[in-house]
Amino acid sequence: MRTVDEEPEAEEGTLRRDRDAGVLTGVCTGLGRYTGTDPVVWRVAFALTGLVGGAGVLLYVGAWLTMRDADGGPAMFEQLLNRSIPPRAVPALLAAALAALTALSLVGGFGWGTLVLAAPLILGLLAAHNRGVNLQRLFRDLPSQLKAHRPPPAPPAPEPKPAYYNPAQPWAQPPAGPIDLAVVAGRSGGAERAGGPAEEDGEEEEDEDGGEEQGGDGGQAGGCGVPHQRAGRRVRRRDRGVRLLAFAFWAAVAAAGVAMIATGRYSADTLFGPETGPVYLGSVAVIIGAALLVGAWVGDPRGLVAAGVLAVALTAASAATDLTELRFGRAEWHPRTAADLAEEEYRLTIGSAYLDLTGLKLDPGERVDVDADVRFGALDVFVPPQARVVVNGSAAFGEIRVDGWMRSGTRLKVANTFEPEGAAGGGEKGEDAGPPTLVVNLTSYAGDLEVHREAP
Amino acid sequence: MKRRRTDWGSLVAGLLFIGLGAAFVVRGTGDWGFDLVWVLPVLAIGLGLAGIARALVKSRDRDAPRGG
Repeated sequence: MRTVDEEPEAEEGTLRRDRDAGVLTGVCTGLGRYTGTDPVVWRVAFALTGLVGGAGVLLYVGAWLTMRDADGGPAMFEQLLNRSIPPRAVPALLAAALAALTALSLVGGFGWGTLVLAAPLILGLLAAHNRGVNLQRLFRDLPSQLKAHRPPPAPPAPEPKPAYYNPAQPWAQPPAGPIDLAVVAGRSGGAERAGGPAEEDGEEEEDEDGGEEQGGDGGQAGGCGVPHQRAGRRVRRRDRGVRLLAFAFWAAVAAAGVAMIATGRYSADTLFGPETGPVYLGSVAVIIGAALLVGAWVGDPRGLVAAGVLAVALTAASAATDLTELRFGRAEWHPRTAADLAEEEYRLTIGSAYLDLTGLKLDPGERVDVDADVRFGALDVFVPPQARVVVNGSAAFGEIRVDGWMRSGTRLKVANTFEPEGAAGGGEKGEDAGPPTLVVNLTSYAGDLEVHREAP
Repeated sequence: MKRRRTDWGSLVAGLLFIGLGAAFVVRGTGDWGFDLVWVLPVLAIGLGLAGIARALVKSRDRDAPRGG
């Protein structure tokens, strides 16, 4: 039996980050390629475990630190520790870390966090076992693999970049110095590959991507491969069948018409309002689900999962809030009288708002309440310096500033009173009734709330 | 239309969206209610299962010997 140390390094060189094919750093693409699974599975697993105290983020960073780059250069940890970490130990380390985090989540009792962490761990181990991985041996060998003091792989030497010269082009001038014929042959080979059939691997989508990459080379070298490539794409498109996303879209449009006729209201309120919005958008989710069911056997189901997620998110949002009331962008409010305050609503969903109360006509002793709400963004409020100002601010996350006073963090709640300027001197007009009082109630989920005691 | 082998990922995702959409329709008509906080975990678990189903079938197909 071969021991761990005897196994050649070449067998370990397959787990690599693939930044070009990946979304962020290529970790999930590399893991997917190494384990023979879809990278999306890894992305979902990292995202799902990330909901539990950021465990998925820690695991992702750990994977990034221990995985070698696309050229086989040493991983960050290998550089820091100056020793080799066998690539096949990385998935085992991830599983061990996830198991440790799952055990840690049991402190304080069994909860949904434990369930979320345990589910991908168990499913991953089962999938690996099903694919013939000897889990017992994998974890038994892990300590000896990590203890083996082998130097990290040397970073790859930069590839020489000889100038390209195509002798078939009569106008081409050979560059000065030696000409690497391997480069010329490689370019020509790329063009031939681009023109050839791309169905060898049996993976339609991957082949299409590969074909595009090769087409780039081929186009540069000769361009004769492009028509063949386009024809290949047309054949693949025909093989996939009817695009079901289009069917779902037009069915959703038809359902919108039915909803409007059934309710007798011909406005966006019917489709996105709090009363009938969840019913219509839920129906759209059902339509997309039905199209996906059909797509399980016939037709082209691409894009339907993303559309379904969007439909469910919109449905949940319409059930939680009135989507027709959402306001985005920049808003400026300049109320002049107490009547303006009663009539207008100072609400913004996402963006920055500017509420100028300095022009507000206030009588001595009068009390006026102002409510302003910016869910996500910034809100600047300008209050007259001669009024007593009561600021009630609350923000789930962000910063509240009032006249030089500042508080930031999460779950902010502020209740401060600011006396008018020159209040101690007295003798002003309306002294008997006292200064007017402005009660400013500010709310935000995430944002900066600032109150200025001055004219803008 | 040409019929092909079962795409288990689409099948699971389809059942997930039909289930969630139907739940919202019933909730909207007032016959039954549920807490909205369940939507996100149910969606995440359903999509995860769909992805795993697709990946498992893909890997099985890849491992299977090619004919011809």
